[in-house]
Order: sequence, then structure tokens, then C-alpha cells
Amino acid sequence: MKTIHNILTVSKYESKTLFRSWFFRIFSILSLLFVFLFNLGTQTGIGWPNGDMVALPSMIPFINLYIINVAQAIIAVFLASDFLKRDKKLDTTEVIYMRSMTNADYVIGKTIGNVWVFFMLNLVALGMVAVFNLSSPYNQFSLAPYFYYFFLISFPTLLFILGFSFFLMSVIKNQAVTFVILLGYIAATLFYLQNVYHYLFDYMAFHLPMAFSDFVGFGFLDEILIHRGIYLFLGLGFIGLTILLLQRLSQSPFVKKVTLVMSVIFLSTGLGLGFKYISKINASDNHRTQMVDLNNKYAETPVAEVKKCDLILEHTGEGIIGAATLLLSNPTKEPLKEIILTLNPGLEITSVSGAKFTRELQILRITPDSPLPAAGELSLKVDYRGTIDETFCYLDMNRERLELWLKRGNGIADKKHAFIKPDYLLLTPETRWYPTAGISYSTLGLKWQSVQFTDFHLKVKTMNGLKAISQGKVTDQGNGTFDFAPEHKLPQISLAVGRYLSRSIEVDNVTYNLSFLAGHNKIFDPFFKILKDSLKPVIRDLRKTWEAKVSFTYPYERLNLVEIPVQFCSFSHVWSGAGEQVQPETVYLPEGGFKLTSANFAEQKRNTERWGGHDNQTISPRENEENYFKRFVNEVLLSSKTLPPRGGGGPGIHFGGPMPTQEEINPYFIFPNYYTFITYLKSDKYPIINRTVESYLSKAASETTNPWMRNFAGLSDNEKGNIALQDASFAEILDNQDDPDVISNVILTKSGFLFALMKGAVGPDKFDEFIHKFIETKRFQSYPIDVLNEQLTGSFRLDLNQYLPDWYNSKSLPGYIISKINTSKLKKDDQIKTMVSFVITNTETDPGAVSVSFRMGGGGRGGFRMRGGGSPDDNIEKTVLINGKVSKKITYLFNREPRSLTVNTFASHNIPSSITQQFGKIEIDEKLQATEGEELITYTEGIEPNEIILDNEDSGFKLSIPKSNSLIQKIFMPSANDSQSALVLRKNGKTKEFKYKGMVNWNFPVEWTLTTNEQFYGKQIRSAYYLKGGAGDRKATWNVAIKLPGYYKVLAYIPKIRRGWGHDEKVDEEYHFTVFHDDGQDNQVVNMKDNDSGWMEIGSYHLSPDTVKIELSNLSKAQTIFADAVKLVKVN
Amino acid sequence: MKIEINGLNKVYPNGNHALKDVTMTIENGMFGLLGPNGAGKSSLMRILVTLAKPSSGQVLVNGLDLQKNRKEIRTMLGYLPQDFRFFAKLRTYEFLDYIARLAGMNQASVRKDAIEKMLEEVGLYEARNRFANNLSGGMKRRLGIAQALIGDPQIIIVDEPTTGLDPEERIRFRNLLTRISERDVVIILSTHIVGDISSTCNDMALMNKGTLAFKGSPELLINQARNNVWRITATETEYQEIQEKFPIISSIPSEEGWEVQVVSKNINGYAGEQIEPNLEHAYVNFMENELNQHWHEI
Repeated sequence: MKTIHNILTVSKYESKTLFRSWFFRIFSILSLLFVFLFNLGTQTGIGWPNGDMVALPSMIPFINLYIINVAQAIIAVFLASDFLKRDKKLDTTEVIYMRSMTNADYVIGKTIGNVWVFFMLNLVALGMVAVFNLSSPYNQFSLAPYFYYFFLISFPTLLFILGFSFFLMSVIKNQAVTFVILLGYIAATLFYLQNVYHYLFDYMAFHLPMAFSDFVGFGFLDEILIHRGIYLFLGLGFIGLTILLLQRLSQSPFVKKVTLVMSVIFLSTGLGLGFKYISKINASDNHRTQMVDLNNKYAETPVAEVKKCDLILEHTGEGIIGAATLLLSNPTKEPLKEIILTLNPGLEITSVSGAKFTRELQILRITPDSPLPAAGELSLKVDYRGTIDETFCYLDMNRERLELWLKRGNGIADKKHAFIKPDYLLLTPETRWYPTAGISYSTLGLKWQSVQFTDFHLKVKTMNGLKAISQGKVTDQGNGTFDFAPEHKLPQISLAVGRYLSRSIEVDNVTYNLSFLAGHNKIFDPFFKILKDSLKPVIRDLRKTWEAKVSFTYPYERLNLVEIPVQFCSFSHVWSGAGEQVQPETVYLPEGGFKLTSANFAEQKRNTERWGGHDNQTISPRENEENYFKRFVNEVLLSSKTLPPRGGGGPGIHFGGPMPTQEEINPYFIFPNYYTFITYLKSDKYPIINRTVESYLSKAASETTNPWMRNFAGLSDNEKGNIALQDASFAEILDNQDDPDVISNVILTKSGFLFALMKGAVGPDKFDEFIHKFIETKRFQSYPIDVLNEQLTGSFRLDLNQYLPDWYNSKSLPGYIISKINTSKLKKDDQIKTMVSFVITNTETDPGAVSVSFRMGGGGRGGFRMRGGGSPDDNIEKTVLINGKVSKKITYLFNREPRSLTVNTFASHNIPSSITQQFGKIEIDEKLQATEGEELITYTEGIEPNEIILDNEDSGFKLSIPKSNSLIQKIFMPSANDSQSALVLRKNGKTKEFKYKGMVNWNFPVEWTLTTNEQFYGKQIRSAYYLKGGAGDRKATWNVAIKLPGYYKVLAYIPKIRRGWGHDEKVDEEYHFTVFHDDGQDNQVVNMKDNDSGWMEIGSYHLSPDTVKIELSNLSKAQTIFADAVKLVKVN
Repeated sequence: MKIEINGLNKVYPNGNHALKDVTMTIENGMFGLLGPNGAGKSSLMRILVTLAKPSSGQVLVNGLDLQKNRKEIRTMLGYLPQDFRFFAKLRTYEFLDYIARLAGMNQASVRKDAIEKMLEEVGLYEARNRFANNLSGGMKRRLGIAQALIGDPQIIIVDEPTTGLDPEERIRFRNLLTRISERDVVIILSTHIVGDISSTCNDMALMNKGTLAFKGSPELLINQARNNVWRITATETEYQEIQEKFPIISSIPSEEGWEVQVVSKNINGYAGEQIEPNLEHAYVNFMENELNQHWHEI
């Protein structure tokens, strides 16, 4: 009683004191003001709808608690350390310390007083948020998350940071030092430790994935509870230690002992939970290694074919009971003694009838009574039950990659690959929820890969009131029983069960079903009031435009768009272009359109309201609705790439996350339903061949990447692939499987090259027509590469076997020099035609192929282009085949005037891999003869015999940087030499630092930085070093080796890149060169103010072999200085 | 009430031996603690109010060992530290309420009455809703006194309670203590103002350099100074000499020059007469003659 009385007394007056301290008042008023403004800006009519909040109501308290929590963590540090400082210094405390109470009473009272004021702050803030939420025109209100997040985020954070601050202050006894340590700790957890050990150190739960789904609540509640428990108990433990360390004579030895025991218990519980948290992750890593090892045993085992798969699945709440009747056949020429099937290791096999079986982890080994002869069939029934072990999924990904998903702006949603909950279920093929043939992944190459087209049938029994969605024609048999009968053979099926509602519309024999969680129609219904009755023509139009681009027709009878929980996460495998979000005749969309900008219809509407009237165009409400519907379809379903949300931080607010400079694969891209799930090109020798066809076809259906993206990133995807190919063959890169990003870039560039070869041999248009038609004939089946090759040989005398071995196994690449690009107009048959010619040389021995495309027609185009959907570019594409060590003069004749020429070199030594030449005004040349075609000419590398060129890529090129002893400078400014040694591309898959950096339009580097640009000079690698114009303390030197002394003209190639912002055309752009010649040295200045990129003359000098040195200084008023190449021309 | 102090020693980690074998018994009533700065008064008091631990020795309060029975003894205590100036952001009333609650006054109505009465007594009733840190120096001191007295403590330990009080307040405070001292309480009063002790205490101790130099009634101390206090009538020149030779208690300019009170066994030919000593004289005499500690060194 006395204890409680004391604690309440202390806490009452402690909280009174805190409430009245200016520090708390100012800080909490500021945080409340911030919360107020934030919600005013995101939840009201005057603001802008926040995508995360619109999609997921739980995000509203979540995002707000982020703001509050960071603010209060900092206030708490100040207040907590202040309490002990106050206690130490002042006699006021003595009159309290000498009162009869235990140290525990006092410290606990103080703590409760502290917690109480923050509790009030949270209450006021969340109350305010709730008022905004309830009156918001766009956002839904969900009460429970307000409580969940308060107790999971705010409460443990506070107890921990208070306890920790008290404790540190008791030990260090210096407020300033305690501050520095604590604020450093907070900063470290926010910016540095982030996701180390899966967010172990994230005491504020700032990065910990904690999205709360309307479907399933938290993804991994137990992990969240463990994580928050760690900090709750450590906080309590630290408070206990503070009691023991309090500078006051203790009152009760008994209480002291109890405190000691409790502190030890709390601290060890906290640490124990931490250990459990880590060991869970380690255990899952070990488990994954075991499964991969087991798979590897069967990497070369022949795979049986599943011809039919009849599934009966009962959804029993937290588990499933399955019965699979399989018809297996032996597609090989040898009898099969053993058949390997894979089933999720979380599903226990209860019986197998039809053959003997053994089970180990995910592998189910079936031993038929007698070996299955070639083409023989075996019927098998497998009964299983249990739940899904998610650690089995994505065995090809290491932990770093698995967590990348969270880093890339999805940070708030824990990643789940499957859901089995009493009122929700989602199973996709990656989980192997039904037995499949062969293994799921191996580190030993790709031979295990087998895509089979199976006759599926699925019967689902679930709880009454739930609705099941899967592939095929569905029959609702009542009582929660659904029957699915797919019309076609499919490579895979998936299943979603939940409180779904559906809307359907049939357009041109395809039924479009939209299934969403009951109640979630509020997210879209208000925005399509007019359009909902007239969707048909819009859908028809969208489909027509898209299919014209992709050159295939949709093969199924229906398209299911199904909303699934926000936590669902999928990765794309190297060997397939499809993620799990896209399934046959199905696309799974994230809850409420989470992180899909174009699914935030509230924002779309707001945008048009805000900006609609600006260009004096009146758009009718109907057009408006149509516009955002189209934008949604185009961006979400019909785009191959997407700009990822800003990563690095939590939801809504982004902490230190860089602006995305690279587009990512769009996981909802519908393309797999046009190719990947429709057919499969089989090859044992080249298991990646199907993926390259897929990559080519998908690329053809994709918009081109913004060129500025390439310059930001430094390299395009193609070029990153090329760099990887400089010292390894395609086969080796695939076998090593170091980095999926690199591999997909290699696939992209290799695929481009292979198809350029084929197109070169057949003719681009002809080839495209052929390949599309051919694939349409191979629907719903897999076919061997020989079938394709026979067709190609038969129709076009093109034998793939001529190309494939080198393409797959060769380490060398072609490399091209494009020179002498000429354009002129001429008259032919009374018509004005345009003739374009250039010389192309393949400097390597490998045969090459490039595509040459011309952008035609009138100006004014360009600018913003709608993603996907839009009309294809007005391009004329040609393909040129060129053998090793050969030069060709290429001439084209056009009826219209081309505006630019782009040569895409695919897998080659060239960087940039595509070179664009803009054409200016093309003059008419009356005398010119019209010709067209390719002509073999004498081999030339574009350099005259009397010329010597030294590029920055050559060995005589050197950079000098002033020596600095400043440690800080060494740490924060890696020199150019460092970045040079920082390699081409780290092969261990860890660092992906490229030798060539991106070029930025602001904040130019102060050290020489290597970058590439088509405006640069380069034989094949058009690179240069650049830095900010400066004081002349940095130099670039070309040491040119010449054989003959004599009189030389010295020129320097100076690129002129049109920079973006803040560029002043009037500023001198001087380049200070020093030429060291026979008679001493000569300083020359070249001003680039009025010049374009090109060779600039420096002067003419007598030079002998050991004197030639040309130096460029960074002394300049120009924004940037480029060090590229020098040329010496011998003058007779 | 009875406080028995036996062989008390306090050595600080820096080697400062603040209390050396202090042994004494303090009984009911007002007890004065006198001594120069650094004599060990504050150390003794901090031990008595359980804020510091003795290095050795024992304190018994009504027979209870202070080290082992902090819980019980703390309930008996009221304490006013010497440098009691700062208050957290609390109002006068709230601060008293805080202390009263900790002093064990659980019942709200009883506590309220007691606080209001106490506020009246120290003349802070009008200021009860003012923030304590905005009170004037004297008012803060009074609030300090109030918090030491609230909850009817049986042992009241006050360190320099009257500094900063005007004479009227001092008298009022003295009377307040005297009234309380009639109950079964011990009041320990440490002070520089000798007058505070002489007018209120029936027992006292004089401390010097950590040791107990004198223990007994103020009269006893005064008796020791009898015959040693002189009033000298001196010229300006003599006055200069006297200042060098004797500890001067007071000096008043007069028609002949100066009228000076000094403490000394004899005055060696200066014109003067013996006068009746008071406690102030006695204190100086004790320091000067018994401890051979010269006034101006103190």
C-alpha cells in the first residue's frame, strides 16, 4: 500500500514537472503541430491523398506513430537524463531522498511519471489523427490498429529509451556525454543498423516491417512480439539497474534483492528474446541450406511429366488437407526407377497410393513397383496435410536479396509467401502447395528446370461464407465448396480463399473478374460512378492497343484481378520473367493498391481537380474517370518496368532513402499470360533459351527506358550485362548465379544479340512475324528447340546451331566502331529522298549483329509519353550482321527524313551500348547517286595512318590528385584512384559498384570521376573523367608514345554535354592544356563556350618519342571539365 | 526521543576526514550545533537524515540503529538542507503536498488541513498557488522550513534555517520551533547565528575540524568565557593595535575614539573593563582559548 502510495506520489509530481518543462512543451507542441499539418496535408480536402493511407487504413495510425515515436524518443532522452542531473545537483532532491520510501518506489514513480506524459502526448496526437481520419474524404477508419501500434511501437520504445537513458546517466553521470551517446545510438539505429540482423537493433520499430492487413492482420505477429518484447524487457531491466545504481542509501535490503533478481530476469528475458529472434533467422537460413543441398542431389535426375493433376483441398483453418491424384509419365528414353516430386516441407504426407515413397524435407521420392518405361504412365494419389513452410520459398535468394524487398520502399510490410489463416488462404506455385515434378531449384546450373503443361482440376472445401478463386471455370457447389476446371493445360495453378466479393464484365469473350475484400470497394467505387456502366469499349480499346504492341492475343477465357494481403511478396527468378503476382489468367494486386501510384484513384482525382483546368481544356468527368482507369491498366498491368517507391525509410516518410534512379521490373506486368504460361522452349544444352525468347518478346512489348535514367545510373542494364560478359561466358555467368540482377542484365543483352543475329539473317519484320506466328501454334505445350530450328532452317536457311554454341559458351564479344556518318538529300525519280551512310567495323574476331533504328518524321514529338499502351514509336529498324575483323559501309535510302540514328550493339565491348546520332538540317546534294545496301570495305578502325589517339581508357593516361593528410577527407572523399581499383564489377555478388559512375546534373564531383556518354570519344568504350571546374590542383595527363620524331598537330577531344540546371551559356568554359614538347612547354587555353563536342586543336609542335606529355588542369570557370582523349597528327 | 551517537567517523573518498570519533547523546528539545565552516556539522546532519553513510560508528534513534532501520527512522525525519533554493516547476502548495504525501500523510483531507495550517504558520498561504521557484529568497526559505515541519516529524534537522529571513521572520521561526520543541521531538539546529541558539536551545554542541569540541548547555559554554570578555575604550592608534592583538567582537565609535569588545584573558594595560559574556562571546572565547584557534583564522 505504502509502496503504491509512494510510487503514485512521485509519478504524479514527476509528470507535473515534465508537463510544465518548456522543453517538453515546445517539443510536444512542435510534434503535435507537425502531426496536425501532416494530417491536414494527407487526410483532408485541402491536402493530397497519401497512397499508403488510402490503400491501407492501418497506415494512418502507423505513419503518424512513426513521426510521434521518433520525436518522443528524442524528447525522452533529454528528459530522462535531465531527471538524474536534477537529482544529483540540487538540495531539493535531498528533502525527497530522506523521506521514507524505497529506491524502487522512487525510480518506478519517476518512470511512470515520464511514461504518463508521453502516453498523454500519444493520446492527444492519435486522437487528433483519429478525428482527421474519421472526417477524411478518402481514407477508411479502422480503430484496432490505433491500439496495436501504440502498444507495439510507442510503449516498448519509451520504456526502453527511458530505462536505457536512466541507466547510462547513472553510469556515466554526465548529461552531455549521455546525450551524445544516446543520440548517436538513435542515429545509428535509424540510419546505419536499420536492417542488420533483420531489424534486431531497431528499438523504435522504425524499419521493422509491421503492416497490418485488413485480410490477415500482422504477417508475423510472433516475430513482432518477440522483437518488441526484447526492448520492453531490456527497458524494464535497465530501470531495475537504475534503481540499484541510484545514489541514495537504500531503505530495504529485501526490496534491493528483489530488484536485483527482477533486473536480472528482465535483462535476461530481453537478451533471451533477442537470441531467439536471431536464432530463428539463422535456423531458417540453415534450413534453407539443407533444402538446397538436398535439391542438388537430384539436380541431374530426369524429371517425370505430370500429365494430369486432380486436387482436392480442404481449408481447415490454420492448415490444409490435400489429396492429389497425379498421372505421371516418363518423357525420357530411359526407364525411370525413381520419380522425384517436390512438396512444401511444411506439408506432411499422410499416404501415397500407387507406389512406394520416401520423404525428406521437400523431396518426395516415388519408387514405382517396376521402373517406369519410356512414355509409360503411372497413376498416383498423394494425401498430405499441414501448413506452408515459407522458408522453402525462393531458395535461389540469399538473405541479403530476400531483405532487399523490404529495403525497396516496401519496408513496412513483412514478407509473406503464403497465407493460411482461418478466414484467409493464399497459395501460389512457389510454395509447392501441391506435388510438382522435379526439384524447385539447384545451385548446379539450370538443367533441373522443367516447365510442364498439366491438365489441372481443383476442388476446394473451405468455410461457409468464404470464396475461393483459382484458374478455370468455377462452380460454386455451396457450403464453401468450389470446383475449378481449367479449359487449358497450365504450367501451374494458384488459389486464394477469403471474404471476397467479385465484379465481372465480359468483353470479346473474355470475362474480367475483379475480386476484392468485402468493404474494399470503397477504395475505387466512388471514383468510377459514371464509367462503371460503360467500361466495355474502354477495355476493348486498351486490349486492342496492347495486343497490337505485343503481337499476341490473350489465350484464356477470363482474367482474374484479385486483391491480396499487403504482406505478400514475390521475387523473380533468373529463369523466368514471371513473379508470383502473375498467375495463369490471374493477377494478384496488393491490398488497396498499396504502393501503386496509379491505383490511388483519390489522388488521381485530386490531381485532375487541381490541374485539370490549367490548359483551358475542359475534360468531362467521364473522360476523367476513363483517364485514370486507363492509366491504372497501362501502368500496373501493361508496363514491364516500374519506378520503385523511394526506399530506405518507413512508410510515407522517407529517411535517407535515395531517389530511385533505376526502374524495376513491374511484378504485375501481364506479359507472362501471353508467353510464359503459354508455351515453353526446351533445350538441355541451353536451358536459358526460353528465358531469352521471353526476354526478347517482353522487351518488344515494353516501352524504352528514359535515357536520363541511364545517365543517372551510369550504365544501362545492357551495359551492366556487357561488363559481366567481358571476362565470362554466358554459360559461366549462369552457372555461377552470383547476382540475379547481373544475370538478368546478361540475359537481356544476350537475348538482344541472338535476336539481332536472327533478324539480320531473316529480316527484322519477317522474323518478328514468323516468331509470333510460330509461338501461337505452340500454345499450352512445351516443345524442344529442334522444332524451332527445323522451321528456321526450312523457311530461312537459318541454322541456330551455327550461332548458339558461341553465343552460349564463348568468352569473347564483338566490338564495333561506327564512323563517317553522312546524311544528304537527293532527287530520285522526281522524289526527294534522304540517304544515310556510315561505316561500321567489328574490331574483334567474334561475329556481330547490331540493330540500327531511325527515328522518323516531324518534330515536336517526344516529351512525356504515357507508359505502355501508347502508339509504338515511329521507328524504322534495320539489322546489320558483321563478321569479325570486317568493315562495312552501310547506306540506307528513305522517303522521309530521319531525325536520328541509334545503333544498338547488344552484347559487345561497346559502352554506351547504344549510340545515337541526331541529324541536323540535311542539305540537298543534286549530284549524289542514290544507292542503298551494304558494301565490304577495307578494314578501318576510323584512325588515319598518320594519327595517334590516346584515350582515357589507354595506359598512357594518368590522373593526379593533390596529396592530402586530412583523415576526414580520406574517409569522405574516396579518390578517383580508389574508385578505379574499385573494379569493374564485384563478382561475389555483394558490392555492385561499377567502374563507370552515373553523371549528375548538380553537386558535381570534386575528384576525377569516370563516366560514360555517347558524346565522349572512345574506340568502343566512350568514357571520360570529369570533375567540377576548380583551382587547378587536379590534373589529367596523356603520355603519348610516338615512334617517330617530327612535327605534330596536337588535338584534344572535348565533349560538350548540355548540362541541366544552373547552366549559364555565357560563362567561359576554358580548358587549360600544357603540352610538353622538344622546346619546353606550352600553355594553351581552349574555350568551349561556343563549341560543340569534338576535336579541338591545341597547337603544332616538334615532338620526339620521350617528350610527349599533354596535361589538362581543372582550372576553369566551367561547371565541369572532361578529360577524354588526345590526338597527334603527323604533319609532313 | 533520544539520539545516541557513538564513535561516528566519516571519511570521504578524497581523504577528507569530516567526522572524527564523534560521540554524544541528543535528547528531546532544541539542540544547537555550532562550529566554523568545515567543522563537520553538515556531514553529521547528512548522516542523521540518512543521506550519507558513516564510515564507522553508530547512531541509535530511540534505540533503533540508523543504518538498519532507515525505513522507520525516515518516517520520523524532517530536514531543511542548507542550500535549499531551487524548486522544480511546482506550485508552493503542490510542493508541500508532494512532501506531505511522502511523509506518510495518506489521507487527503487530513493532509489538506495540515498543509493549509502549515502555510498559514510560515506565512505562505497567500503564495500557495505561486510557482515555488518564483518565490522571493525569504519565502523560499520559509517554504523550506514548512516542508521540514510538515507531517509532524519527531526529529527535525535544520541547517542554517534563518539565513535570508528578516528579523521578524526569524523571531517567528524561533517561536515556531520552540513551540514544537515542547513535544516529544528532537530539533537539531545548525547555525552560524549564535543568537538563534542562545535564545532557543537548552543543549548544544560545538564542533571543530570534525571533532566534538564542546557538548553541554549554552550556559556552560558562556561560563567558560566569564572573565575573558572586555570592553576597551581606545584611541584611534590603540584601536589599530587592538585589532592586531585581540579578537574583536564589536567596535563602536565613541567620543574618545572607539569602544571595543574583545575576548582575551587579559588586556595588557589597555583601559577596559570586564563585561558579562553572551553565547557569541563564549563561542569566540572557546575557539580562541580552548582550541587555540584564532578568530581571524576561522
